[in-house]
Amino acid sequence: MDLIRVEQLAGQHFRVTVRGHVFETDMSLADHGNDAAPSPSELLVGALGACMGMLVNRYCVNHEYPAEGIGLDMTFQLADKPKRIAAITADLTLPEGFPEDRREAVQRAVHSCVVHNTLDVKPEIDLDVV
Amino acid sequence: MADIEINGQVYQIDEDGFMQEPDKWNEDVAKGFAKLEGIESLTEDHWKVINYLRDYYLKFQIAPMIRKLCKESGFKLKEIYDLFPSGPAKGACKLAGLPKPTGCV
Repeated sequence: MDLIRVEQLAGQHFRVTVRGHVFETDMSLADHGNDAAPSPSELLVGALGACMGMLVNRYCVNHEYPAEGIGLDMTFQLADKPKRIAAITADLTLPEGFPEDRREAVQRAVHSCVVHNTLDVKPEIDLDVV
Repeated sequence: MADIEINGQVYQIDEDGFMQEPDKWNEDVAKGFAKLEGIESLTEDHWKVINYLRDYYLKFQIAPMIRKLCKESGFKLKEIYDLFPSGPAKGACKLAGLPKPTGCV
């Protein structure tokens, strides 16, 4: 895997660089940030949605179904002790013309995307101070 | 804890603006909170969501899960956000007079 570099810009505002791509993250004003970018939790939920969307696209391409126009509307709820994302809700919009009788199948398939699997099977996180 | 005055009545709210005494809720409270949330007027669709949340809370003393809210009110997630831009918890539940939800809506 390529190196993912995370650098503080100021306060809670960070820049993430990977393979020449750059995005930023920050916290809301209420959470001591400047709201300059989505929060890490929002990015995580967004990453899950993008991963599920990509899997739907592959599923459609592989089955020669219409494969464009995929969308997800998502939200999440936080819980305390420990503070975490407790629930994620997603509404998936399938491409126009997607066969009705394959809706349940694609819904099942979406649960096997990499990010979803990662949330299901907790990864080992090995952090060292260097 | 703070107070908010709506139509001459004073209500206690928490630091996020949620009612502390949900039994004091009435339709004027929903209309007052709506203005604070930037919702000009409450439509039939707003009331459908608010009344569902209100009934669910009175029955179970908690807010429903979002999926349950969507299924039983008949609105998609995006439609809930179109009605309540702050979302189901910070928007709809607040207008319905529920205390700040934890873990659910």
